[in-house]
Amino acid sequence: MPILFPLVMKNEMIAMILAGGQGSRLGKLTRTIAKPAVPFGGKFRIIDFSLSNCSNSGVRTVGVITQYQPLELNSHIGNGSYWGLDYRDGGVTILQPHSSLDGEKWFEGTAHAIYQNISFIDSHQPTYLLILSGDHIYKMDYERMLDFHKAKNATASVAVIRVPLAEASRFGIMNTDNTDRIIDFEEKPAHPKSNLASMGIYIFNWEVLRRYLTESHATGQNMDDFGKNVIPSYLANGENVFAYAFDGYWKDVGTIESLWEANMAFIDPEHELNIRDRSWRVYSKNPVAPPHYLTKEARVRESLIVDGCYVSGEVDHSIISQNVKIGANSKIRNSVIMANAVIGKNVTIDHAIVGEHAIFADNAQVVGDKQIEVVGYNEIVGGLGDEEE
Amino acid sequence: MRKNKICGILNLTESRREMYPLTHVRPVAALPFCCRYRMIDLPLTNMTTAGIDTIGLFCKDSLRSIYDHIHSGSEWGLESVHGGLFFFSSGTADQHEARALGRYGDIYNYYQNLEFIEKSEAEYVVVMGSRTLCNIDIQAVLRNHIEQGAAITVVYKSVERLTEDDQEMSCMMIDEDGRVRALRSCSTQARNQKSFINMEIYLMKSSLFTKLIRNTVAENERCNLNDVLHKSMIKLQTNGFEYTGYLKNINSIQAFYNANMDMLQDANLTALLKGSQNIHTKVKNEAPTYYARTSDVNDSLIANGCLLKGEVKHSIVFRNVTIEKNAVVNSSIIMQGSYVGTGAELHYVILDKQVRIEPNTKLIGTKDKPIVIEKNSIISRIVEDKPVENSLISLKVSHVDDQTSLFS
Repeated sequence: MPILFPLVMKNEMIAMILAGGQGSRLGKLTRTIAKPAVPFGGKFRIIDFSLSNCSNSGVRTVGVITQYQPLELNSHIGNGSYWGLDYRDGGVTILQPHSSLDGEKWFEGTAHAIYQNISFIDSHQPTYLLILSGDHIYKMDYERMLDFHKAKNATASVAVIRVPLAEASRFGIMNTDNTDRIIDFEEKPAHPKSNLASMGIYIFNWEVLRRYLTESHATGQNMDDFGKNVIPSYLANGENVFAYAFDGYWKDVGTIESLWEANMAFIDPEHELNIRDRSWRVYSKNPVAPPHYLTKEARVRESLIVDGCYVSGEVDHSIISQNVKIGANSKIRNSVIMANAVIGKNVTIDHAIVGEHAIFADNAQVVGDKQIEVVGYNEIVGGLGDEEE
Repeated sequence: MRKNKICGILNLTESRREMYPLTHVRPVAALPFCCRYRMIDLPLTNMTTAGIDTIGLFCKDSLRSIYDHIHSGSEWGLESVHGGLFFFSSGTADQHEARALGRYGDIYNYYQNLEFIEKSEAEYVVVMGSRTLCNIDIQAVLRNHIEQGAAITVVYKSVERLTEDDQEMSCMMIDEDGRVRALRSCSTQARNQKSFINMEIYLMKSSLFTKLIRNTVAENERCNLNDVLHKSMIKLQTNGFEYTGYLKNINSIQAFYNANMDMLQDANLTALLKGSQNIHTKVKNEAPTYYARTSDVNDSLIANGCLLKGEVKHSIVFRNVTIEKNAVVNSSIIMQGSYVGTGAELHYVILDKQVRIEPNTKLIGTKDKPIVIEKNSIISRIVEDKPVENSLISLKVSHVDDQTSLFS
């Protein structure tokens, strides 16, 4: 049956994606672009997952809050049409810090970024506000979380995922009672009492959150961060805060190693993310390129390849993104090659992440091991102009 | 009137007969080409790259598959407030009426819609079809047209010898001044004679174009636009513009097969699809193509969204194709959504969209006569109790009556 109305009533809930983070642990990969814009899986950028989730969950109005190196991100998102988010009333709006009579308004924290954009949110008159991070790789139906939020009569809901107890001290940990109500929140506890980690995904009743943000601003109380300030303040005031348990694939690719591992796992067609599922597609900006060509000498095994590539060498257990050229006798193993990289002849690349537009001269070698080698965007490896190699 | 503004006319009333069964379900313009394109992408991109923002598509029957592919033309930047895409189908109901009035040929479709050209306020019109595969710079044709001061400029390709695929085309006699003097059928030319093939791309003032159509109807002529243009080429001062890029006339299954195979040579692929103008097409969200450890793929063009576990050699593979383990695909064209089962073997085969080849089925065509399998077919090898002698290719063909897939 055709769906005549959007799954979520128009503007019942709007989403704000926090995409301003630098992701400094990704080193060279986030030197010039924000973490949500980092390429993933051959033809995606990390933020595509959150944007596609919004689109698939029927969230029609999305504000993307950018701050750090926003150029790449802004041009990627455009008017949101690639995610089907180019609605006449709503769609995607990119929100950047701006100055006003009150002075400059850099975002001091996650909740502060929302506070600075109150007028944008008010203009859509939402009942519920969905807060997302643009940093995570996962598929999630926000409509089901909203149903949970309503059923529990909550004023705030926090999506949580079970993590190994040994790793729990790296996360914000929620302690709940047997009705999923959050009774205690600890940010990176030394001795975690549970393994329910916050995913940085929240649903708030906008009226209540708006009051908290404006009143604290008036009284000078610090309300800059959702995890550190807002949730503890809600709990202290006896608000109904519930934990919504999510049990699918969820990955925060915060480091080079985790980004590499997540990419390598992504090659497997049986991957939990099920990227070929047509009922929950992950959309991305799709530049036009011809099909990819494998020459007579090419040898490709256990890999992903995207449009526009020209492959003459050997590719084993790797991801080759759009418009990459790989010359004869080159060997690419256990690596991620980002878009538009040009790799000459007799090049060896193993356990590496190669940035967009990187150039490898003939015979160049980049071989990592447990420590993954990173070649930055536009970097030139080998040949005469090289100093690092 | 904006100076030098061109209005594009896509003349898609091309005959389908020669291309059966591939054109049973679609006009030539909607034929899938080279992994992810359709024939119409080339003239459409040529027009938009030349800055043409008003394009009329003239067609004699259902526009469904073309409309499904193009929609508002946003992929080609045609959804702006200026101009846009306009669809003109003579339609079946109109055809009955037209017959009753004794009107045959597509000329009446143009006549009834001349308002489109007048409203576009374009100074020039360019007419193109979709069966001539080429990548041409229309602005260069316009510059030549203005310099030469011709009434009509027609594009041609100079070839040293004619091939089987050129037989349906016409070729031109051109004098030293570059003026077209006569037209002839290529089939009457000696094969090894240097010829100027008429590519059926015309540029002229819009006022001349409308005049030609009005006069033809006034004289009660029953014909197609191409006939009118052919006649006018000889009557009026017509200059030739030589095209030097890749050209193939898609007049037969064989020509279609050859053109796809030509793309396996990097020079041809570059010239036609990514050279001076990157050809645009409808974008689809597909996952990257997966190559399994058991795969063995080379000398092939592969689109996104495939799962490749078997052997693929010298072939063209469209989106969302699955090639199972131990399957062999050689010198073949596998269109979108098709499935080749374990142990199946295909040589010189064209699989239309959503074909399913059951395991261990063998289909062996030849270079000059590839086997064509219709859209939505399921091909399976008949397994009988007693093996029949010499029946290696005993086949069972059945069709899936799947209306929804018509829209994919």
